[in-house]
Amino acid sequence: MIGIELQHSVEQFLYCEVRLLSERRYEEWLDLLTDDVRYWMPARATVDGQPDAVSAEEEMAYFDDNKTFLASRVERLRSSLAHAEQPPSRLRYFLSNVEIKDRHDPEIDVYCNLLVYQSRLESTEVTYVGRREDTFRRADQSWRIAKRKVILDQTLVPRTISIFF
Amino acid sequence: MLTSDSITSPAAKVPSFELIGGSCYVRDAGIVNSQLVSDSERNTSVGQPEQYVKLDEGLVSRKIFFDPEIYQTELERIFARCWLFLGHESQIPKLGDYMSAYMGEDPILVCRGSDGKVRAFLNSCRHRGMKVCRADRGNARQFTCSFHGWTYANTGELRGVPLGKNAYGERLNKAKWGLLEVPKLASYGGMLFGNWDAGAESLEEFLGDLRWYMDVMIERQVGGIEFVPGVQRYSLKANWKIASENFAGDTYHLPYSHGSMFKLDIRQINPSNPSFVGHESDYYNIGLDNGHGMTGIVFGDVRYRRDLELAEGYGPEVVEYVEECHQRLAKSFPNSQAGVYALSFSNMFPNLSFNDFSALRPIGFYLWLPKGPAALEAWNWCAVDRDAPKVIKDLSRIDYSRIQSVTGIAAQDDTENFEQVTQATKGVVGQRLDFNYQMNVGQALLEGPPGFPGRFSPYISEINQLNFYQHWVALFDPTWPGKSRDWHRVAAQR
Repeated sequence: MIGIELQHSVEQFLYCEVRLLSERRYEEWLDLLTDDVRYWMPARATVDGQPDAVSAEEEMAYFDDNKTFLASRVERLRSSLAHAEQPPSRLRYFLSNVEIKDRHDPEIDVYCNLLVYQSRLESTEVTYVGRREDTFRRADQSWRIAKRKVILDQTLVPRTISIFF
Repeated sequence: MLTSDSITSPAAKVPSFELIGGSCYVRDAGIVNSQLVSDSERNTSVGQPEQYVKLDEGLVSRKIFFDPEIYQTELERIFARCWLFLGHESQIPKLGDYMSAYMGEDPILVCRGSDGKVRAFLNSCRHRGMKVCRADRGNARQFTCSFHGWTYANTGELRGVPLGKNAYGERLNKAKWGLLEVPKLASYGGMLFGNWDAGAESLEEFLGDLRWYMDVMIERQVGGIEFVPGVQRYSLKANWKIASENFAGDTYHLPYSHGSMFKLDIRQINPSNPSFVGHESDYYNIGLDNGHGMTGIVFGDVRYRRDLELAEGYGPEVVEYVEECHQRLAKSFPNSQAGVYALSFSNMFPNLSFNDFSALRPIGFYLWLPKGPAALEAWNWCAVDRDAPKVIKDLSRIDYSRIQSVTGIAAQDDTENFEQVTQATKGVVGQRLDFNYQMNVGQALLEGPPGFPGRFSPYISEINQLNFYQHWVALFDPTWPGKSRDWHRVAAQR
């Protein structure tokens, strides 16, 4: 059984994190990641006989970032020449089905479903649907994200991706 | 329209393989041209292409990026006639491996048949047209249509029809109703290309002088090109030509479109990322026959020397690897050709872009599939040298995902621009205007080094885009007097 307190603290952490993303408070968001974070979004495809197949470690990925490069992405987005996010998109994040999968102190594995709506300029609208498989590490009475694997449900990405998941 | 009797069943013919050089083969399915491209000669109301493309003035009408009828004509006259990229042999190594692809808007199934031969088929059941294969990739001995259950071997023959005797008696000649095979298939460096036009020039002729440069990229690979498993696909609301011409020659967009990227120290991803600054005069854009364009070509081992310097940071194994790449080139080519070493950005007409900067970085392939006059689907692959040291393969894959991929810090800003170009040019007044390609109009081309093929222009120029549209016109209008060299011969064959 997962205690209510643990579940509550994980959910509150997740809600706080997506609020930072939706408000594009990316510098504060970076502080929620451990220095050794792996931020990974493998590619997806319809593969015969493997309905849940995602790309493996040494295969194609949409994201395969460490903290240094995530910080570079943020630095780039802050530049006036990052046209894809100038002016910035309007973002809304929805999380559900938060499950604590495994505890191996000081880390826990947390899965959740994710729906992100992006609206930009006059009429650009994009919806991303997928799930996160995270590893959180205890720090300062709260959590830090030590691993994030994002599995998108779409095999055709609706647009180039200029946001975080 | 296709009629059944006009298509010879591929299964009924013995395929022929013809070697053209060490790394090429051609498969001729033995299909006669019949009516496969007949629609391309039909009269349309789109008019003559020179009313849209004024090469001497450096003007291209905005209509060709939005008009539905021009788009439909392109599908018929360009995509049903040109050699089109399908994928790489390393993606289907085993008997029965298959992958999906597109030629124009036609879905294609590329299979390595149980007999070991690679074929491409229209992915559509010959009975009522359903896709016979609905997966992106897999392995199968046969494909069964989910509609009525017609079953095809992975070599294309129609094998089984449910209730066959009861439903059809003896009236169905299965030999005539195999999957429609793409009549011409060719492999070059493992890259597979198909052509719907059975009378088309060979892939070798179509590549022309582009091959002189691509041979360098291919020969540099110690173990041959290997595609990293998986493809990235994304939608983009823009005409396919906006993306193709960008890779063919638009070096001008780099400093501003990608200004945010160049402000970063992107060498932290991979030190062999070029700085682009201060050395522009050493680099050339090269326009080639048949609409192909290359940017950023530099000679005299410049890229090799940079690789060698950077390789030291990765240790002796990587230094040795870079030296081996260089020795392979020195052995295969005259010094001047070997000194090209790597290619930068290029576009193979019509819609296959690729980049290759260094033996320490990935080769990126970007296919711009037309999905309507103002819509495309980008299919991206990352390729590496099969025998590169593991550290270089890993670095290449990560470099690819961070810069040029669907989330890459370069691609995002390009697609934003391409989509908003479409938004801003589709109105009736906007459609009356031309795009300006006048940067080098009236200026002499540069002299390339002796023996180097192609039309040389400065690193920042728009000659390659005009070269791209010149070939577009030639394909669009067979009677156009400025037809390119190869078009002459192709037209005569038809």
